[in-house]
Amino acid sequence: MADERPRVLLFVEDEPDIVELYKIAFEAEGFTVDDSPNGKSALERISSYTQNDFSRPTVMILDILLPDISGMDILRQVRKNPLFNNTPVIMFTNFSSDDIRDEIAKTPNTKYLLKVQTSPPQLVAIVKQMLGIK
Amino acid sequence: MTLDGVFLNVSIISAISILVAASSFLLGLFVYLNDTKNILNRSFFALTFFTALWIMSVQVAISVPDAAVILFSRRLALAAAVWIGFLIYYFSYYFPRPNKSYQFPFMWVAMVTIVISVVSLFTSYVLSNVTYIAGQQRNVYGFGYYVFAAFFIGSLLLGIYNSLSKRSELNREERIQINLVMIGLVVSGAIALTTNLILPQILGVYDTGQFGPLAVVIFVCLATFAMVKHHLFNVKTIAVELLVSGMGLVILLMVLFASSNQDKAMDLVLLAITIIVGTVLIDSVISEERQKDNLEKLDKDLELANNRYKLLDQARKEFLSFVSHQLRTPMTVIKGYASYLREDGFYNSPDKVKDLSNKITDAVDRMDSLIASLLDARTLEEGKMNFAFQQIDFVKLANSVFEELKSSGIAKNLALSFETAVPSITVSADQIKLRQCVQNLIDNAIKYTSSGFVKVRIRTDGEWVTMSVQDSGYGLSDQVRGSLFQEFVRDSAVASKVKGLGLGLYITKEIIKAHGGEISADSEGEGKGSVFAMKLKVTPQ
Repeated sequence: MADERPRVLLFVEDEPDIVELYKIAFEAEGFTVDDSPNGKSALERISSYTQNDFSRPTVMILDILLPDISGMDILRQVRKNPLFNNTPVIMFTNFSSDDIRDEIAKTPNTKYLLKVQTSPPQLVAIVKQMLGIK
Repeated sequence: MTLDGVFLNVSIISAISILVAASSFLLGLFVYLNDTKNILNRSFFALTFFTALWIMSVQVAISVPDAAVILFSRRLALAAAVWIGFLIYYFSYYFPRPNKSYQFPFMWVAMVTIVISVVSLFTSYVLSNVTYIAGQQRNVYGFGYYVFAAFFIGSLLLGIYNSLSKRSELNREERIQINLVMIGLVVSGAIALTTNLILPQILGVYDTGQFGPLAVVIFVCLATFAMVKHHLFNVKTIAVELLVSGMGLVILLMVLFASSNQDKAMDLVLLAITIIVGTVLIDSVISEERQKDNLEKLDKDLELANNRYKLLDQARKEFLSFVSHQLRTPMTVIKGYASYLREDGFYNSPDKVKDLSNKITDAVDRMDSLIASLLDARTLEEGKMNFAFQQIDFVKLANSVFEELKSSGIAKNLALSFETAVPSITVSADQIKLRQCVQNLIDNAIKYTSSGFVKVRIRTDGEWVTMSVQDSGYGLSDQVRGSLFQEFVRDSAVASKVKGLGLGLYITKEIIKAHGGEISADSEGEGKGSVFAMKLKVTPQ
């Protein structure tokens, strides 16, 4: 459901080229992109938000193969956090795995997308659909 | 009851005792022949030899009427018993592995054994005489008898201690083996001690001496069982060897005690047939055991090969999965920027189009680099990489790579330094490939360090030149360090920490190896930086 909070995207991705590529499309659509190059710093940031913090992310895009911890571990931690247990999350990777696909299918409000099959405009459209905004 | 034979008046008990002595001796002989170099096999044979000697000495003493022979045989039996005691202690210390709790005091135990056995055999201090009372032999012992008894009982007790003290270190099969052997030795020894020492000397019961040797059958049976069922000494053919020898012995006794020449001739023929057939049987069993061993070995080798194949296959699948992931990243960039070109409003100026073109070119270069790594790895695997060796200045090469890559380090605000102990040093190398290796190490250090420093150092001891690249970057866990120079990264969790295809270091390692050099990686752990070093032979001036 849409709300009045700013469009804040947390993008956890260790490849700077990928971040730069998709940031262009999101910023053009009025999103604030908060990027984190590894899992630990992303989790620290997520746990620092409070209920009254209006800059907290309204949507998250998580890479799976990160230098320190797996994006799936981040997803599990996010879903345990009451502030984010229903936040739309996209697991964004070039790593094909049926096991990961099955786990994500059982997780509400979470999608699994391959980067090579999802152009920046397409990703923005999917995020807007998950947020219920035009 | 007696068997009237050729020159002996032999009772049934004596005949059985002789059989037991022969079985004991043969058991030890077969164990020794199975592995003549093994100290345990040799000591076991010695033990059974002295056991057989003891039994036969006692038998001679009770069968022969000559007083001097009787006295000598009795003394020989005592001397043999001293060696049995020593060997029980010795064997129990070393079987199946030496006791860790103390060092076997071989010199002084052997000396004491020699002294007591020589005194027993050649003097009257242990056994002074043999007399007759009511037709029964009575040993008259000297004061040395108590020393002898203490030595024998002490050896048995130490043997029990050695076996019990190492039980916790043994596996199940070894525990069973040692239990069977030691129970056999201790029970046989205890019975012999009772019948031949305690009952006559302490309780004045003199007609039990001939039964002592029969107790050895307990040891023979338990040791044989341990060999057949529990692989003691790994003697696989012991059962058939003992059976054939036993049969031969029985028939030999029949020959010796045959009542007529006709019976003797028939028994001799039977003995000859037994020996021939027995030898053929033993040979075929040995051959079968060897074939079985070969098949077992082949089976194990096959299982190892199969496991290795499964691991390699799994690694190949994981590698292919990882390669596709890594190649998709630059493809995502190319496709992503191409999609912007289709959309209005993104790239509507020549500068932005040029910027997009540069980004696409960079992505293509990255893919090309990944593919080049794959091809290099393939060439190395097939041993087809060619090298053009020439004399080059290694310091100059390393410095030029450092200068080329410096800018990417400066852009990250890293403190970069290049130190060399010598202004120049010559190595025989393929310039392009060596440059690739130096580039790989310095580039990795800069890439995997977010803040701090990258230090390049060159040192030489005259024979070798070492270039080390130290950084304050992500560091290496033990798990990653183990996989670093491998061709296939097996674990995706590890693979995510190794950029590109993870082949760079494998290729670098193989190139350095082809140059007769070495490469190493060290780190105090994740987040604690790392040091990579390559070592090459210096060309003598």
